Amino acid sequence: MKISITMRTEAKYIFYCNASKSTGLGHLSRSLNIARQISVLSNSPKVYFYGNYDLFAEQKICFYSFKVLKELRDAENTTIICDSYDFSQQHLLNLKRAGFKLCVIDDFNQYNFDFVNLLINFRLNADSFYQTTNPSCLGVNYFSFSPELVALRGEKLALPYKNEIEKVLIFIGGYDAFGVGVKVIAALDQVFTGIDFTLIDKQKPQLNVENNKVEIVGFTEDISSYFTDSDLIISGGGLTKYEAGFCLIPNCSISQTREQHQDTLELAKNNLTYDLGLAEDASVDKLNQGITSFIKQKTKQVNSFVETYNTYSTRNLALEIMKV
Amino acid sequence: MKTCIVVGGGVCGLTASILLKKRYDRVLLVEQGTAVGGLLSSVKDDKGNIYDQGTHIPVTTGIQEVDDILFNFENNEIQWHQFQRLETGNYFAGSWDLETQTIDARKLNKDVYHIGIGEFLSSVLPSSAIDIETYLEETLGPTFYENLAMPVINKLYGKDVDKKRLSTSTSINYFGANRIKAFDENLTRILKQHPEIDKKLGFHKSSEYDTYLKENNFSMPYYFYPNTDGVQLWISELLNKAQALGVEIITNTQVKKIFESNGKIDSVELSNSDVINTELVFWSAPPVFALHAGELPIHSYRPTFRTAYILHATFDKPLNNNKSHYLWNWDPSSEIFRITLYDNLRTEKTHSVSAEVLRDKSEAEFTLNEGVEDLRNMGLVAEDASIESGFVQQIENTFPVPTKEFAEATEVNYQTLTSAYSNILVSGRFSGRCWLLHDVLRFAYEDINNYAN
Repeated sequence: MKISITMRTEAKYIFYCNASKSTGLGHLSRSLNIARQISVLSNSPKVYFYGNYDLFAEQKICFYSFKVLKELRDAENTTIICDSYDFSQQHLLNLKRAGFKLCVIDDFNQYNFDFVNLLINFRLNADSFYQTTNPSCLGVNYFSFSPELVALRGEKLALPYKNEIEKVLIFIGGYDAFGVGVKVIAALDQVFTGIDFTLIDKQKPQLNVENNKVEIVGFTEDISSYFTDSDLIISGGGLTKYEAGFCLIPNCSISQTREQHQDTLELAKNNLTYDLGLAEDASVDKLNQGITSFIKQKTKQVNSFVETYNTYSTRNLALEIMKV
Repeated sequence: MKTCIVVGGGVCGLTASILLKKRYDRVLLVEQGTAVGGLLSSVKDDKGNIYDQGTHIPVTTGIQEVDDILFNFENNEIQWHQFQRLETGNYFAGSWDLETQTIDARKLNKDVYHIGIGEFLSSVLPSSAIDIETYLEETLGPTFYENLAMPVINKLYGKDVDKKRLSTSTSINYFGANRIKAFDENLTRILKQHPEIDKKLGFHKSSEYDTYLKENNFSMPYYFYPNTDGVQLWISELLNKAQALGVEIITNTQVKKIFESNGKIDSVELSNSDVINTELVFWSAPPVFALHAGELPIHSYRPTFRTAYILHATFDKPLNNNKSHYLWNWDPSSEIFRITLYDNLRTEKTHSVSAEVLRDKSEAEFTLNEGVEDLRNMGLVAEDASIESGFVQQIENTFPVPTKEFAEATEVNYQTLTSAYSNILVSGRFSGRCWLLHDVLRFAYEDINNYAN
């Protein structure tokens, strides 16, 4: 990393994250959500991205009219928002010493260093389990959602709740390592009859659906457009379970990793998702049982979605970052 | 002989004097200016083109007795025309919407719109805020407040105004900037079934509002405008009617003293030293003058006034709008906030407009060139049209910045005055009870009727 300093006075925000096939799009997605909210709050925002991006990620950044920096410089009046699991303490310290104001998104309590200007952990109940004396944004009141999902939450809050399930969205993640999407579809086909399934999966697997209709979407720029008509979402346990709940859509999670599963269990305890276990353990029978059991109690989730999530959470977070 | 005194010779004072002449033997209308009419007087340019001092389009109140006074004149058909749909529209984000005056949130940047919609629909509880900023943040949501309503507040009251000090009852509400147009027509209809969303979400078309009025059995208003004249014709007609009925009108005169006994006004002394015994006073002027004349305590608050600049211009070609009677400009690119299009109001076509701007008196004057340039940029004046005549009218101290302190002073002074005398009625606008003229007239009618009965 090459760091040089020149004198600039305008406030600038740099999102420092990586996005590629190997790292996934999660960090970039949530950084984009915050960047877009900062742009809404600021008249002439100077928002940039820095990191390792593949072509798809770079196109995504450009789609929202943000630029990718080749190097980190101009630390004057610049806030850098770091979102990666791979930073070292020394690397962050170097950024701080170079003059950047430092915000760090810290999902796993690994960056709780006293030189960080703002620590962010927007997982459920982070304000209870994340101990820090630094300025911090902890808990779902600071979770970042895309503007499209903020709009959808508003509409769902204002319109009467729909109890019937007519459309199910299945999104396991950027890469379905355990091929669990196919098992979910098979289980759903046993539970429901005459409804529509949409599977978002780049690998476009072969499916055998007898009782329902299924559409496979290989790629989508904006997953939230599929949220609009969905009455149930089966997610891969990452950010989608938060996004579904934020939009008041009943949802179940099949966690891809043990860390995700811990998070899923925390949400399930609060009726914010339903735990279908770990992807590596999933079978059609188990999924059938889980989904059937969930359907009977799905309305319990809706009140929790309304009470727990906050329409203003992305705004809250952006405002705190802008204050740093 | 039963006598009553009306103070203030605007439309409300004139109408009240006619209503009261049916109930009292002698009615005396006292006006401090040289003529009655106030801001409803019309003005002329060098070439004789007639303009109003802002948008003034007379409308029925729905009260038969009042509407007979207001609109039943001799030669009515020749001098006036009547229409049932008031055509308005608004300019925002660089384009016109000629369907409604409601600002269209969908013209915002997509991210701003989406976030705004989420906040807008998440806020469905009634707001009890006492300042306009908190009220609009709670009802529209902060994003729409910042991107839609705040620029309008800045335009009307100045960008440096402390929004937390502005009361909730301001022109922002009266001008409709507390509502937005959003979604599609169908979803709007569904969402408007929620009473709190209904208050802040506008119909997409004026025809839908008409349907709503009909479905809810509200009486449809009628609008009137002179065929060839300005709105001053209305004042002249009301003045003639009042005089024909025997209302005595004294101009250039103020009420100097109020004499009372047992909480009742017995008489007033005018600035010409006449003392008039009276059984009722209808006060259609700021209450502070009555408090002064009655030596009553005054809740003193000196509001900041905006200076109004009204551009009056006549062009050699028709304007690029042959539909709207008047228009709003919510776009921050021009300080003009309202435009009256006389060709669409009158049968006589002169290609004249009036455009209104508010500035602080410390700021430079708004010029004719600035205004015409703005109208051209908005696409209202054709590029090849030339100005034939016009001028900018400056009116100082006309538009008080409606702070909470101002609202409180208005309320306290109104209460002091009406508690001190059992036989005084105070016009709605000066009591803070209402602001739009047809509401002021309704209140006046109700007050007079309740008192007389």
